[in-house]
Parts: sequence; structure tokens; C-alpha cells
Amino acid sequence: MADVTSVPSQAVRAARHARRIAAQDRFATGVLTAIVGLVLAVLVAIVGYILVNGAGKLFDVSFLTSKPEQFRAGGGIGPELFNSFYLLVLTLVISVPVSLGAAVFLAEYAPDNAATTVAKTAIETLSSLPSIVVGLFGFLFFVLQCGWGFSILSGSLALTMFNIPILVRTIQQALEAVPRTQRDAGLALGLTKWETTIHVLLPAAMPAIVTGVVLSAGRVFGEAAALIYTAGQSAPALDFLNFDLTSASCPWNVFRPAETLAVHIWKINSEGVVPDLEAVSNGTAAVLMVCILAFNLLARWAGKAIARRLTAE
Amino acid sequence: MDTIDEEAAAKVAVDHLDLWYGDFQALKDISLTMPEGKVTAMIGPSGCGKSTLLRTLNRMCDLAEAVRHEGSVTVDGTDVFGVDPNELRLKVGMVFQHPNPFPMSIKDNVCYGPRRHAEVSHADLDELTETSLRRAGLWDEVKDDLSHDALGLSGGQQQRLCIARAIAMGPEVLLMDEPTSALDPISTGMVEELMRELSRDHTVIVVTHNMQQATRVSDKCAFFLLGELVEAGPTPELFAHPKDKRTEDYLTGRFG
Repeated sequence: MADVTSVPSQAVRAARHARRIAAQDRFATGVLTAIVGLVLAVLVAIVGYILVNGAGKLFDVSFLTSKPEQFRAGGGIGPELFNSFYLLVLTLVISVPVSLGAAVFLAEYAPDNAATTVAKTAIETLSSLPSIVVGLFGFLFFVLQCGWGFSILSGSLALTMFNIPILVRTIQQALEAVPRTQRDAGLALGLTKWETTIHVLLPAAMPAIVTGVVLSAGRVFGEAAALIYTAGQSAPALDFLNFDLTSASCPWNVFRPAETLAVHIWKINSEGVVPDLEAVSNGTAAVLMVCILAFNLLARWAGKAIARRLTAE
Repeated sequence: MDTIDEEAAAKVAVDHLDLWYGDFQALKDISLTMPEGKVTAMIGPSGCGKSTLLRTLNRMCDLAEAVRHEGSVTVDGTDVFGVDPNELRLKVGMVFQHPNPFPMSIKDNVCYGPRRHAEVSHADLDELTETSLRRAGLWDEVKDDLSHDALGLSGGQQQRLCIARAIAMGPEVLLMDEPTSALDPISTGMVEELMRELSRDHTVIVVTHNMQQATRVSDKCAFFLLGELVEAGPTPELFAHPKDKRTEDYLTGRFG
């Protein structure tokens, strides 16, 4: 029976176990903190680098408003800035209503059958489609097949394809997050499913929907690959007093080519010959990043403001 | 036989009702009448079918997938499955287990149904808000700030607001699905008192887990078990002299 003495007592084993799991806990906390620290460091480094390098141009009004130069230094990004916003607005005008309809259908009306599952899977797949693929599809279909050329219309339709799956998922999740009791309340008052959806569910989901739309706007705003072959890589000088919708210099003409900020960065870095190439590239990157940052802040603010307005009236 | 049924006409009548969710039979051959202007309580352990039956009366059960039924449910002699569910729900209002006011003001909550269903003037809405809130016993607590957010009210106040919202539609029948299970004892007392008062103008049908509540509020009581209606009758009689052994066992707490 010599072995018995070498077996630790119950209490000793419990204490040993407690020490071991405490050490595991400290170790896991340490590792997780280090990972988060690393992520933050990378983020700060990238954002800081872009802002510091682009700071000179970021507040330069003539850079923000003048047109780019082909060969000389001192070109601006005025048309690119306008194009980015115009494309964004058009994309949202097309994609928000479509996504809203699809999401309401999927969340509230779609029967639980094979067709619905296929539709949901298709949307998920589409949302992870590489944007260059969307761009090439847009080139083959909108640019060539439809004959719209490199244009704002082709570009915004490509961006719509890119944006719809994400928006549908966001809106669908927002609707599904509205408690079942709210649906019951509406229906029990004799409202139809449609009335309940429009008057009860959508308002309740609105803060999340608006946040989702604005965040998707940030993604669309910074998209380059899907636009290179659809909206084109040239930015005709714009004349804001020109309202001839067929003219290439009319800002609102949807059939003119329209290089955006993100595409501009790609283009001048791959084939630019201006002497201040690096400064222009850095400045554009900084402007783009500040805009996207602004979208993110706006998304938070708008979501909260709407939630407040809905509950405080 | 029910003595109550002979005094008051049956407002709601369930006749040989069977109901299935897919393959599961939730209600088995239920026949029961709910007398007009009285409170009918439905009791029984969880999953006994009482809530399912309640939700059948205003066809909220239609919302679940793969529901089918046999037998009939009538309100004032009209088959509920033969009318438009939205129309039915104007006549048969409902209050739920958890208070579910809309995220809007107190007044907007009360006026929500009437606004959607009829052209009502502002003056009428003011009056309707006051009457409904008074009848729900909430008026004195909220009259100074009707534009206050309904979600800022306490649970008990929210539930009375939901009652006000339901009665603002002028329903003839009011269904209540365990309306006090999420409330504290004081709020519960208020809601129970309300049920008594509301039964003067409405036929009230309440599902409850709380047998004391059933004795306090109801005129007629029905005991359900595993989808079957075991026994129904005037509440005092059912509690004092249950005819079925299972009812007696449940009421004396021997299972459930």
C-alpha cells in the first residue's frame, strides 16, 4: 500500500487545479489583450500614416476643388470628389428601395421553403463576391452589352449589385430583431401584415436600418475595383453651370465617365506621370479616409438620433 | 350543466374543436362556451392548450406554420374561420403576457388602432384617449404627460396601457393571455380589478397560471390538461366541487 501515500489528497488536488485554471485565465487575458493591442496599433499606424502624409492637401481648398493635371504639378481632385458623392447618391437611390423590399419580403412574407433558402444563400454568396468580379460583370453587361459605356450609370449599377446583398442582410436582421410581441400587438389591433410591417416594424427597425445604410455608404464610397471597368478612369472637367444632360462636362449627366477618389488613387499610382504624384495620392487617400470616417460617425449619430426621436415623441 | 350559461348568452362558442401544429395535436375535441359580459378563466399546466385556444379565438394561431383545425369557433354565432382575421380582431381584442406597447407616446399608443381603422377627428381622439385610459385605470397617473414615451412607464402601467389600447378599438370580446404573469403583486391586483370592471362591457376571457387569480376574477372556469378540456363550470363550483379527479388533483396541487 505504499502508493497510497504518494496520491495527493482531495484538498491538495483541488488547490492545484484552482492554481492551474487561475494561471490559464491570466494567460488567456494576456494573449487577448496583446491581440487587441496589435490590432489597434496596426489601425493607428495606418490611419496616422495616411493622415500625416495627406495633411498638407487635406485642408487645401484648391486641391479639393480644382481639376487634376495630366503632366504638371498642382492638380486637384474636385471632379473625383463630386463623382464619388454623385455615384454614392445614385447607388443608394437605386439600392435602398430594392433592398428594403427584398428584406421585408424575406423577413416577413417569405414562406419557409426551398426557394427562400436558395434566395437567402444567393444573397449571402453575392455579398461575398469579389468586387473585381462585379466590376468585370458590369463591364461586360452594362458597359458593352447595354452600350452605356464607361459611365456613372454603369458604375452605380455595378455598385448597386455590390451593395444590395449587404443591405438586404442588414435590413433583414434589423427587422428580425424587432420582438415578436410587437408584431402580435399590431396584428391583435386588426392591422394587416402590411400595415404592421409599415407602421410598427419598420419604425422600430429604423435606427438599425439607417446605421446599416450609412455604413454601406462608406463601403460604396471607397470602392475601386468595381468601378475601374464601369465608371471609367477619366474625369472630364465639370462645369456646374452646364445643365445640358448630354454634355460630358455636365456634372449630372449619368452617361459621362466618372473617376472616383478611390479609382483616382489606383490610377495615378499605376500610370500617373505628374511630378507631385505622391502628394496627390496621399492627399486623395486622406480625403477618402476622412469621408469614410465621417460616414461611420454619421451612422452612429443618425442611428441614435432616430432611436431617440422614435421613443421621445 | 353550467348555471351561468343559462343566465347569460354564450358570446363565444367552441364546438368540437381539434387543432394540430403539424403532427402535434394541441387541442382535442374542445367544446366550451364563454358567457357574454362575464369573465371566463382558462387554467391548466403549461402546454395544456389553453393559450392555443385563446389565440384561436382571434385567429392569432393562424400565424404559426402548418396549423389546421376541425370543428368550429363562433363569436355571436359567426364562424371565426369564415371572416377576415383583421375584421375579427376589431371585435376580439387581445392583451398579451408581456406588456408590448409600441415605442411611441402614451396617447399615440391608445389612438393607434382607431387612427388606422377610421377617420377620427383630433377632438374625438382626445376623448377616446381619456375614456380608454380612465377605463384602464391609468388616466390619473399619466394625464399630465400623454406625450410621454410609453416605454418609460413601469411594467404594470405598460400593461394597463396595452389594455387601454385594446379597449380603444371598442372590442366586444377581450382576450387576455396571462396578463399579470410579468407584473408585481400591486400591479397584478390593479389588473385583476380591471378585469372585473371590464366584464361589464366586454366578454373577458383570460388564461392564467394562477389559480387564486382564477377564483378572484372569473365567473366561469375551464380546466385544461394535455390538450383536453377536462372540466368547465361556474368558478366557485369548479373549485369547491370538482367533478373530475384530475381537476381535483390539480387544484389541490398534487401535480401541475
